[in-house]
Amino acid sequence: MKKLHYYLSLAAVGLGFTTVSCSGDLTELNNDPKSYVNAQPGALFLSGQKGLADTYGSAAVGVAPFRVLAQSWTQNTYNNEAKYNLASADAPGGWWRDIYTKTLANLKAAGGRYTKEETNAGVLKNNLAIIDLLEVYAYHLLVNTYGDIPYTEALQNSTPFPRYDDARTVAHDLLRRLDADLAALDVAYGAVGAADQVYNGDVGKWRKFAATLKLKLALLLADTEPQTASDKALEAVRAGVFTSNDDNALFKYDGANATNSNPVWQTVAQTTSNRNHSPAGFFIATLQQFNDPRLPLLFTQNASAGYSGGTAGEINNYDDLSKFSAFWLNSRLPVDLLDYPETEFLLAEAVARGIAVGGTDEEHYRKAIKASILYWGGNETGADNYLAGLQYNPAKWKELIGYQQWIAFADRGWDAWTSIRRLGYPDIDADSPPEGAAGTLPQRFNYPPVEQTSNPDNWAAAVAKISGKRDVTNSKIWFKN
Amino acid sequence: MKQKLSVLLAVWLITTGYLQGQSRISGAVTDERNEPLQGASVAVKGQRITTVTDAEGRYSLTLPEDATTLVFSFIGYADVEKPINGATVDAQLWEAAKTLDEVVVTALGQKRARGTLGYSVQEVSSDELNRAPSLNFTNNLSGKVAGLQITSANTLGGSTNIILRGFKSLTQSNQALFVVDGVPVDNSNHSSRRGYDLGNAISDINPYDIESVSVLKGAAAAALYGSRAANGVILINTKKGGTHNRLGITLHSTIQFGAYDRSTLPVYQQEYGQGKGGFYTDAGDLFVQSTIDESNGPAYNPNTLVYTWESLIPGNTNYKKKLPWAPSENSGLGDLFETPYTFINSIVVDKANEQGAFKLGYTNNYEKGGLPNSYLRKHQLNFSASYQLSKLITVGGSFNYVNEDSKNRNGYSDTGGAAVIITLRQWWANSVNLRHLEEEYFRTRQNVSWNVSPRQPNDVAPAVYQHDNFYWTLYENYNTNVRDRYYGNVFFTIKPVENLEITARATRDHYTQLFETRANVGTAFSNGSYSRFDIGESEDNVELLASYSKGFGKHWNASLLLGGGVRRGQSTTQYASTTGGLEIPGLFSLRNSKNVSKTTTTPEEKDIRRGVNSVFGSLSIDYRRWATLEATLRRDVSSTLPQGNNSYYYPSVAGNVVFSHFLPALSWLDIGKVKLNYAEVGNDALPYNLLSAYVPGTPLNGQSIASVDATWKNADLKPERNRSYEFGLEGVLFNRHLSVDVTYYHSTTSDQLTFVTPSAASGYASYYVNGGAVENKGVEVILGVTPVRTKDFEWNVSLNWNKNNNKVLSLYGKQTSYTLATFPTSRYQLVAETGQPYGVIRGTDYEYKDGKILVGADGYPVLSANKLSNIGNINPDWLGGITNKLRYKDISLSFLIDFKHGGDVYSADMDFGSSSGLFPETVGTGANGVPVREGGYVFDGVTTDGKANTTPTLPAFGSVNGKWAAVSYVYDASYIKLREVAITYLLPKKLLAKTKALQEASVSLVGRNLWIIHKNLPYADPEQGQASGNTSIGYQTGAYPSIRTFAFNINLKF
Repeated sequence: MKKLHYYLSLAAVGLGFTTVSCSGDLTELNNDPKSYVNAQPGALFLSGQKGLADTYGSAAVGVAPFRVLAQSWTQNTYNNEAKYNLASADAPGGWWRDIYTKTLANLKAAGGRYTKEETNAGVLKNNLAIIDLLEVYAYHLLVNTYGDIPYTEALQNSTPFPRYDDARTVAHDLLRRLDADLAALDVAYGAVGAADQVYNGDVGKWRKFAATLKLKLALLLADTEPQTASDKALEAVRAGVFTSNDDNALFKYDGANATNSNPVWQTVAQTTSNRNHSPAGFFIATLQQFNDPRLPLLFTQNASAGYSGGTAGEINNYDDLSKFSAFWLNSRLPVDLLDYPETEFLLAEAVARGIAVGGTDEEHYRKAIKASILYWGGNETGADNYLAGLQYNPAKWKELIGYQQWIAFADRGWDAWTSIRRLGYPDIDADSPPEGAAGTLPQRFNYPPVEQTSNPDNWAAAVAKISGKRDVTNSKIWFKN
Repeated sequence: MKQKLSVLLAVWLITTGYLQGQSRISGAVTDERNEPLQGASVAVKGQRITTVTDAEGRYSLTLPEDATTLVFSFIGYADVEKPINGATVDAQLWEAAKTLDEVVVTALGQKRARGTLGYSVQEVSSDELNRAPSLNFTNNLSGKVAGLQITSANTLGGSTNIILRGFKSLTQSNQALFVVDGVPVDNSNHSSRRGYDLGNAISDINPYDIESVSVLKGAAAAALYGSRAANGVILINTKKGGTHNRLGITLHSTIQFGAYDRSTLPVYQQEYGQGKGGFYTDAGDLFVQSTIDESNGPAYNPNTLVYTWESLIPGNTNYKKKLPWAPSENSGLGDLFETPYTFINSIVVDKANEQGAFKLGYTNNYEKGGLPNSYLRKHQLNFSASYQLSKLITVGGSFNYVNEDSKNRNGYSDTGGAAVIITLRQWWANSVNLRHLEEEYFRTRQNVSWNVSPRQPNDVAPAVYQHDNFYWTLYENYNTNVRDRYYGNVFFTIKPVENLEITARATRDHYTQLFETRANVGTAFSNGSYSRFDIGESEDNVELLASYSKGFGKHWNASLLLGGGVRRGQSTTQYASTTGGLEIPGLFSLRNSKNVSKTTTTPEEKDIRRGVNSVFGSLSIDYRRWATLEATLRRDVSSTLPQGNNSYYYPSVAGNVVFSHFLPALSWLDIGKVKLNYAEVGNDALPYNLLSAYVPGTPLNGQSIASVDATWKNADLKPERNRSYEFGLEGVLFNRHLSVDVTYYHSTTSDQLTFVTPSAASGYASYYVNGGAVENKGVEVILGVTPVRTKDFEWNVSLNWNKNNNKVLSLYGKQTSYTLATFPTSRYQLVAETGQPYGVIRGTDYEYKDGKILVGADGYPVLSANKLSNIGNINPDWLGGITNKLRYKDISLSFLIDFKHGGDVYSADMDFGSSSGLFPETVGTGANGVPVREGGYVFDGVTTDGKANTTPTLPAFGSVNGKWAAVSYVYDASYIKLREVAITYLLPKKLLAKTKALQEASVSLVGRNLWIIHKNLPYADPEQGQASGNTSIGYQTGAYPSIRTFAFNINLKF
């Protein structure tokens, strides 16, 4: 018996200490058996590209209430954004966050993974150039929304709190990058492949995209640096911009589920969404005034067989108003990032500003409108009849191009808002000020409030450069005089 | 140890041949009330001669001639030694709790005399804990332990927030660690899923199985738990089976009813009804604006006849009828709730003999919740046994099984769950009768709502606009939660040589939980949905402990403890839901997904493992129990830290001196003790945070998608470290009428493991880093007073009080502010800011002049521009509880008043409810004689010239309107509550003796949360939080009202 006790206790002690001392497997415990340690570069590329399309095309009040600001749409019950109160849903935070983290971070990671994995140097060069084009596009959305933004120190793992770069410097660097991309893209090699849901890896199309984006960014400098704008616009046109709706940069959704559906559909058609958006009365009235063939393409008739939209800033009754047409209520509707109608408007503007890109401003203006009508599903005859009734007056180019571009941008809210900011038309403040609006139409977004707490020094430095030194929406944006 | 000393002494006495002649002695033993003490043991010191006292407390003994001292002892009482100086020696024994001999359970289950501890341990006995039982025993700790902040929810089976000595960690858990009989028991709260409060897992512990609760408050007390000791430890010691050699049966029954505290229910104004501004009109008819979820509609006028929501519902008795425009009865939150009630029945059988003991218990709980169609059912089975195989070896173990099943767990956040309460507090039309909604649901079994569109009556039931019928929500969109849990241990103890004890112990805690949510077809904004969330939690520990103690000379004793342990934990979760709605209404199954042919949402799956290997030891040296010095050291190797840099040491040193031994002249000082200690403990990182990974997305057009993880992970992590010291004085004074325990503590937690929010321009939503420090310092006071103590009447008062000062010393990098949470409905944030306490509420504020709100020329307050301000602080200034116990003969009355002073709460309920015109504060007539709602509102503030504002305006209640600031809806969350009242009648022993079976019997009448004596937050309980966790306090939305409970308990012991 005594012996038994002895052995038992020895065994217990031994067992205890072996379990205590065998720690070899300990670090392995920290390998997540369910996580993706690696990812295909194409999967990251698509994530970044989709991030850009999701954000740019978004209709979420907490990300991109631009259609509401530009009054192609308006809000019914919850109408903070219609009244320029961006604080409650924090669109400035959402827009910033989604572009940096959903778009730029994934594009950067894709670039890193391609560099490691792509063995064909020509393909790699193309891949990196296409990634760069998408990055330039993303940054242009940021710099033209906020002004100064984190750029050189952005997306550095070691820098959680990047400093902000001067907006104009960023804008110039974006043009420089476009030049480099144009030089790098080589149609002799393939690129990206099926992961590219815009051009399916068609390098020629991406070259046109680069040139068109360059034209667009060049004209943003037109008010403050006319010579640079002119030089860059001419270079862009020479490089070959979009020439038809076939060139449009359309990101394709499969509609298989909510996340892979068009963002507008997610907001206005998906069952879990609300009925808070309706067409804006001002937009409908403008289209009705010119008997625009796009009206029935965009919206349905209301209960009393007419067209009516909501009043910005008021509480509107969704049931009484026109609804979105089948065009919008399509989960597979692509997001239009850059298109031919816009190209023609840009060319019209260039000519009107005296930049010799070829043709007359009226020719480009009419081509743009026709392309827009066709894009929205109209027919040639309808477009021609409409154009026949339109007068063009070169002296009033800003107003005429402004209005038409605004209509063409009905689903490209950010560009509709930017067009109003650049050209001054339609003059929302004068012609359709929202009820109970907090001030005038925002000229920029304030920085995300979270920057005040997380990145205070750099935020303060950026705010110090804003005219008026206040981080508010009605201070001047850098591209305006 | 005392025994060991006596044995030594005996050996010494025998060997020195001191044995001589014999004589006889007798006497009486009484307790502190001079009542005779039956069964007390009387022993001759140093010899094997003992006897016990009879029913009159008398004894007699035959003494050897060399006998000099008698030792009197009784369970629960402190030993008393008396010199033999005559033929009669009487003794009075005192309850051990009032002395330093009281044995308390400390780290790793060591039993120690209070007098030898150099740190704070506060025990709560089973009696105190279960005086007014509740299903989650942690609620019963409120007000009973100094330094412990308990914030309980009023929800069914809801969570309790358990914080010891303040918030120490910025983002890691601040919840105390629970250890049940050496088994660390998971206390996770899985409430983050869709905003339902699933309660803390610790509520699985059967309160009737608890013998005592030891609260190890400071780091020194908990230091042997190393990297999980940072938040203090709550040790639960369960009942171990009988001490008597016969079958014992204990029965317990509780019947409890609840009633809602009206001071925590909203009151609605009765002047204006549903809508915003007016009626809808159609062909001269008036229609209530039934799409509007506000009470900002037209003023009531019974002469106005209008179509209401009821007029639109085919089949309704008021269909197509116009009704007078008048306020409705039964329109309040209180009308939604039903009477909650609870039944608890429990049986325990136990038996013990010289070789071993066993205990088998079963408890059945049934709680009917206040929300219609809600309940919580629980079965608890507890078994434990131990057996002495031989003189050297003892084996034993325990097994506990818990099954919990509940329906309609209460929601707490506006992202889910609480929609019903939120509606009734924030977005509601006071002209709607809840009884009519109930009738309509049960008549049609459809989602017939008060908030409908279109507004014209026709033969089709109108569609729900936004808010569902509450009864639809509760009966069709119910949730269920089932948890199956077992925990327990086996141990093996061997005593190979005298004073050496080696124990090997294996413990396991495991549960699986299934939480399912449903929305039937017909719910607003939904085609129906079903989701299931499967949780598996487990923790295994294997421990080896060796303890040895040895006396040196007459007065010195040393104890050594050495041990090692291996811990492995695993937490698995899976979440899956339908997409696109339900194909067949009412069938809640993943297969019933409308989009099942296309694709379902990617199920979420997690498998989180962690492990810690440790070795630890302690050495304690004491001198006659007058002074003790103890040092501990633990080394933990953690799996969550980087390899090669994953082992850390956690030391502590503690000392105490019972100085009253040196001051015999102070007759008023019965006992005086001073304690001092220093300790370093830690908190290791969360698993899987060293290497970044990718997050797969749903493939698009056949192409796979992967994204960068939103968190930047960090391969250089080290553990969070808490350094603390503690200094305290304990005393028993004035012939044991007063006991005092005052402790000052100071702790600094540095190298905080935090997810910091970078600028999103970094590409990440968070960075996981070490950085920042938080300081907590404070004072705890425990006072016990016995103003009256006679044979029949006794009055005891005990007070627990704690003031904790919390300060964020630094944050990561250059940050001055760290966002802990952004309140979902708004921009208001909970932040940690350097130089401020942890948990500052930030939100919109006003401009002030001379401390008063500045009002502009338009009559509206001037909002502070461009920045969020600090508008509140969630930390209480001080908190505590006072328990009064009065006993007259066999009847005792006790009541606990629990109080918290300071700490703020932002009420989204008040903010949004005001904007929708619900409360009486939004009506009335202004100073200018114009109704407030028509432009008579005069904001209380001053104009730029410093004079009181007199400009009337249209009201703009609620910060949501952009004219008022959030600070208007921040309230002081102080309270004074009558927490517990218990009247107990202990059946007299004489009566019991007649039954021949009953050993003990008592009946008690108990009330909990009877009266909120004082509070500042209108229409709600200031204690109500958002489940548990660091961000659960300081924000209210959809607050559940407080429930007064009345219970009748019967305890029978055979």
